[in-house]
Amino acid sequence: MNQIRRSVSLAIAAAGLALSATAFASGPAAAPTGAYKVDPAHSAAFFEVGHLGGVSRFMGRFNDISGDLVVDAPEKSKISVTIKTDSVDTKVEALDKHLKSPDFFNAVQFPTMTFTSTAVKFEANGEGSIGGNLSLHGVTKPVTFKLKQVGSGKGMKGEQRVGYVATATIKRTDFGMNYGVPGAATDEVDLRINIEGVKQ
Amino acid sequence: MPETSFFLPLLLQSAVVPFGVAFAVLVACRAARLDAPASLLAVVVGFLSSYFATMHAQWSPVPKVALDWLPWIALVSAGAALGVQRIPGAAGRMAVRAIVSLVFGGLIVSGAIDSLGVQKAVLAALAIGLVLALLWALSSRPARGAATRPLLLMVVAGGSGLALMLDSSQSLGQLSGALAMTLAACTLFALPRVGTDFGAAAGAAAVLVLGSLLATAHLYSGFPLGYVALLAGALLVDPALGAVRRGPSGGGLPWIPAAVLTAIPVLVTVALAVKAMQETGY
Repeated sequence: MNQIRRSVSLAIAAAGLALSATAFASGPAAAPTGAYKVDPAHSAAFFEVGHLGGVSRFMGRFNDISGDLVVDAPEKSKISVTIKTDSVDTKVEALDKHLKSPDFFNAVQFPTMTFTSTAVKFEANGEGSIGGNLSLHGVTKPVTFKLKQVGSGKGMKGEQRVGYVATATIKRTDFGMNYGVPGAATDEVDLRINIEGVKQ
Repeated sequence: MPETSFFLPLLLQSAVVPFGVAFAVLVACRAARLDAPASLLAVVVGFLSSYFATMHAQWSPVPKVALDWLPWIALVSAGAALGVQRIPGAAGRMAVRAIVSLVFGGLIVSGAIDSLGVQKAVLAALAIGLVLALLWALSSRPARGAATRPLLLMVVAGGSGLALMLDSSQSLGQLSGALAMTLAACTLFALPRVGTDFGAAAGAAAVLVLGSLLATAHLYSGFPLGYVALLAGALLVDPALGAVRRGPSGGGLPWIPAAVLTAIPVLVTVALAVKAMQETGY
């Protein structure tokens, strides 16, 4: 009897371990393939920079983001995103005004910044990278973002949704944004783009 | 230890460099007995030295951003201000002023066409051109007192610089401050003891550069139109006083009423900019 109990306990423990291992080893559920549109209400772009040469880390966001995604095999997947530079939002109106001026984003002359992918790499665990061209302040440079799929599922109206986070670090001087480097703000800027796509 | 000195480069770029370069140009011209173009050269070379000290890393000789036009505007202003004096008739001079000013307006607005749309951009270019032409024409009238004109321009440029730095664009504020410092050097040299003439061409170039800076600030940095109007109004005080009180200055200190009346709208602008900044907590 004791031997049977011991065997059953061992079997249950082994099954539990196997399930846990599977859970840790697998990534988020694969998103259904197809064309998606960026949901502007649930997507945003963030930047983080060293203020005053590195005294603190300062964050801001861009509220107006739009774009399209194609979710498929890596060689067929692509993304293009457009962000309106005058949607910069730091909670402080005067700072937003300064960031929109020719000192930084020059939003009147360059009303949008865009990213268009050229190469996508994606692992089974939902992580990878996305290379493409970032156009900012009138300059276009290749940039590679680290990509992570957050999840995939149904929205409130039954529509298919997928979420990604893309991160990269750029140098603003590469894009002609030289003013105040490094005394006002550092050259290196961390970018983070949170995207939720709605299947079309 | 993080680098926190932001103000020392700003002081060097916007005050020490333009004043030092303008002063050196005036000394060199005096030594070479080139009094006529001395102040014009000091204003333009001093301004350009500060521009390149501040913006050298991002300037493109083929303009890509709005501020890239400013050195060209400064150089053409110098040439046009000198050239227009050689035109015999008043109508001809006004026509040249109008054409050059409208070209400046078009260059300043060119970077904003996508945002404004063609119709608004054309109207903006016309408005900028007309205001620049008017300021240029009025700045050509003789001032009361040898050092009055550079002093008053210095007050307006300096106040513009402060207001710009507080309100919208630090780079444009620095450049306006730099122009003020070149004019400070010219004021010292225009004093009776030194007597270097601050000619109409120097005044015209300074007005065109300052007007272009303010127009650029309004279009690209949201510098309020009310502030631009107050500062442009300050530039009109001396010519207006000159038109009202014709005849010899009659001794005394002829520059005092003009200086006081010029300073009032400048101080109002700076005070408004300070108040606005305090309210936002920036």
